Amino acid sequence: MTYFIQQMLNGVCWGSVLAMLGAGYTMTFGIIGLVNFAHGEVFMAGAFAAYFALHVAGLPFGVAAVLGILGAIAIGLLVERIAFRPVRGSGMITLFITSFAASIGIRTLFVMLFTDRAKPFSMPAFLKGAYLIGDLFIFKKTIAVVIVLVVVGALLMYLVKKTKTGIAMRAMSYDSETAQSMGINTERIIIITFIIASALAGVAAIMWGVSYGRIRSSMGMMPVVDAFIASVIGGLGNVFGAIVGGLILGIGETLFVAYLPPDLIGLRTLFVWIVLFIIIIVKPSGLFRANIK
Amino acid sequence: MSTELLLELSEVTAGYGKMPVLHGVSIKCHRGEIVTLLGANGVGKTTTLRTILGQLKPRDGEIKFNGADITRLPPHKTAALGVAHSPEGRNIFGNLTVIENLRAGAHLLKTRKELKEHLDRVYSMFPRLKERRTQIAGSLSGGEQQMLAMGRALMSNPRLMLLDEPSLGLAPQLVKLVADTLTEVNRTGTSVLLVEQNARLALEISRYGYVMEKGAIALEGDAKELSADEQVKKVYLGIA
Amino acid sequence: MRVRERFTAVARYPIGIGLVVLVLFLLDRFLPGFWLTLFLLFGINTILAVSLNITNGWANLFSIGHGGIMLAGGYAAALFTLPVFFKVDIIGLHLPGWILNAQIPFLPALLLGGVVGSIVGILLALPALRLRGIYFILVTLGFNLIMVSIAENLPNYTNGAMGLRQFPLYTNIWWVWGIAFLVIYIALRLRKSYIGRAFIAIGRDQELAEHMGINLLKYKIYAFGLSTFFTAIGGILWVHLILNLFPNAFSLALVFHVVTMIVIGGMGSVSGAVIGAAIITGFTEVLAPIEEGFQVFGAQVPHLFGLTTLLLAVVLILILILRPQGIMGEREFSLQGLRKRLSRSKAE
Repeated sequence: MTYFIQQMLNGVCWGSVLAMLGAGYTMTFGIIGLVNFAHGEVFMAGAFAAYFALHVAGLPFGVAAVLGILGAIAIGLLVERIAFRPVRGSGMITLFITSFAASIGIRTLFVMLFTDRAKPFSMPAFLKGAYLIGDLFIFKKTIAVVIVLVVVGALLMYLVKKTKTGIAMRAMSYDSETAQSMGINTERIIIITFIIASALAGVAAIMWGVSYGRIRSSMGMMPVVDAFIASVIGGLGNVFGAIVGGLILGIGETLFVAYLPPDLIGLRTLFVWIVLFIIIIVKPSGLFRANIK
Repeated sequence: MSTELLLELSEVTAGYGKMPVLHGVSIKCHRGEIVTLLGANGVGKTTTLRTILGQLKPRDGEIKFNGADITRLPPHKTAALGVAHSPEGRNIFGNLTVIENLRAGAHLLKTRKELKEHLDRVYSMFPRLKERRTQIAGSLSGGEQQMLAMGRALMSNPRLMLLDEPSLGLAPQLVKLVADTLTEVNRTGTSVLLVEQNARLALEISRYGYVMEKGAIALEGDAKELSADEQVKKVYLGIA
Repeated sequence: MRVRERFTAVARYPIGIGLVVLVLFLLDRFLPGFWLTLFLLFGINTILAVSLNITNGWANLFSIGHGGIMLAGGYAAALFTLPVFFKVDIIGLHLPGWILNAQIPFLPALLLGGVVGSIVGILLALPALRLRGIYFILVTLGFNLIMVSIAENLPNYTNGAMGLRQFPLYTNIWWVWGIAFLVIYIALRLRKSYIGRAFIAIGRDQELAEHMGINLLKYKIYAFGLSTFFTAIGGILWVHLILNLFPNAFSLALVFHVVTMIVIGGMGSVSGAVIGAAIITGFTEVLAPIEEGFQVFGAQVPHLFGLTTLLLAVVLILILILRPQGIMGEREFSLQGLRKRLSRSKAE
């Protein structure tokens, strides 16, 4: 039982990373209607920015975290500018290929410059250690990650549901042309969406760094697929759904791996595809209401 | 009633592919007027509205709003000048609630006070919308969606409202509600360019009318004159 | 005159084939090793690109899983072509005896691998084709990742991530270009046949194709089966050329390279696929030594692995922005077209 709860707590860390990634992913999917493969590299760039701030420049953790988020935003806007804006309106396949190319391009560039070896991501002192309750280790970092998830999640939901911008974003997801005739400047909303989604990826990167202590150039490759599946689970374009989907995936995958016999450990990647398979068969529109037509 | 020109289309030619849909269309709408655009299906009435809005760029001709050239202006800038749109088929945001739809329509407003005032006004015109304000718009009935589309267009207190087929698919009492609302809205200063298949209704409430055929204006005149015109009566009013 | 015309019309084919055979023979004989390998890689890439074009270009079924197909076909063939001592003594695979003790010549291995690849491709397609748009692409991606994962994680059957070595050098110019010409010929004939035009119709407008009476599922499966058959064969030719099979060589980077070939050449064009294969092969091999790092004016430029992929990514994005239809668009190369173009520009 203790093992189960322990693994669940681990899963919450991973689930929070996926929740942040999925939330950002589903936002861009809703607005632009396309799969942003490069979101994984935005995530990775944020982690690297924070890493450089921490380990090369020796800056304090808070500053590094902020720089990490800014780094993610910078790469996110770059991707929008070079891989999406020039081909706007070109059809899904083209947009998919450009984001795929951007993803591989950025990842290869980072591998070329920094190799794919793991780099350490040190945790600040106040997050080290754990509380012992009976047999259970409740890591301080887990608590921190959960707090950040709840706070950021709440802010995000407020933004999306209550603010003018949030309503404009959701209206655009549904019907971009009609939204324009309400005076909604779609270009601006797209930029805002990319900024927010990239910032969320940056938050996810910090969560990852704190939880696992290591980053690498290829760290975005798998999580981006998880983020997409989390979006599908939650209903495309639905931010709350993606957060829930991310948690489900994260906790589920951790438990799956925890109970997998050791010689089959390599099959961990199968879990998300099994979940995707189930969702597509049982409820393809997702658990919550999608924001697209 | 002022005769100040609010909207003017001069020889507008526009289309989607190789063939233009509109050929040299010229329309005038004065401040405080209800002007109607009649014609059979597919003659280009909706295309005209889309071109005014900026969803479609004209190949030739000029569009002026309040003296300003809006020919090549993108839709959100045209909207910012005071043009609102209630599209054919309602096009309400089915993923948002009623009140969120209205708030979307209020995107251009600057203050909360304005938002509340306009919201109250729309609610008083369409009490049903107030009742259902937290309902998901996609689950509303056809008539309620039309009310929402019109209410949404009114939220910005536009100078000019472009309405496309508001009476389509509506029960008679709802059609009457639409007509009354338009008249009321016009009374408080909003001009209306109305595209309608229901010619009788349109000519009743309008001051001036244009009849389109094959992408061009075939006939125009005072609404009363048009109602009495033999051609119009036969083709559009169903009176032999 | 008439006799002469008839003669050229009939004799065209054997003369043409004879010329091609002669050229291949001479190339095989006289090209230095590096250039010959390059030419062979070009041929293999042609096979991969032309077959990918059938699904991704013509039928608009954008699959990015063909790495997994090549793995399936590659292993199926390799397990029978590898020398027995390697399978049993060196890597100790836990496979049934009739596999371990067999070593078969190339042709049956190719056919076996091709069929396996085709079956796997159809098994992938059957569920995947029910999904629309982006979900389909996602599932093919997952397929590729899963296949690599399976290959790496079942060492008793596949030797895991360490891969297979000791391949007999079966691949030569005749196999590669014989098959390449065969694939090109099939594709060009297909294009004019009912099946091929059905593929293209499905790619242009699915619903319209259905209304015209085309059984969507049947033809999509045909497209997949055919495409994956030759994709697998391309993979088998490749591993018997480079003489090793590592699972992670078949991951997304490889998929991406082939996609770049058909995009540059023009999705929907067989000649485009050939041109794209030529360009990418040349590009890759020119950059390969640069990737290793080199000396310039006494300074050492360090190795830059991945430079090719990076540059291809940039090129791909540029092409999609500037000339999304690629070099050939959807047209095919034809001598008449070329003649017309030349005379037109002369007249101007």
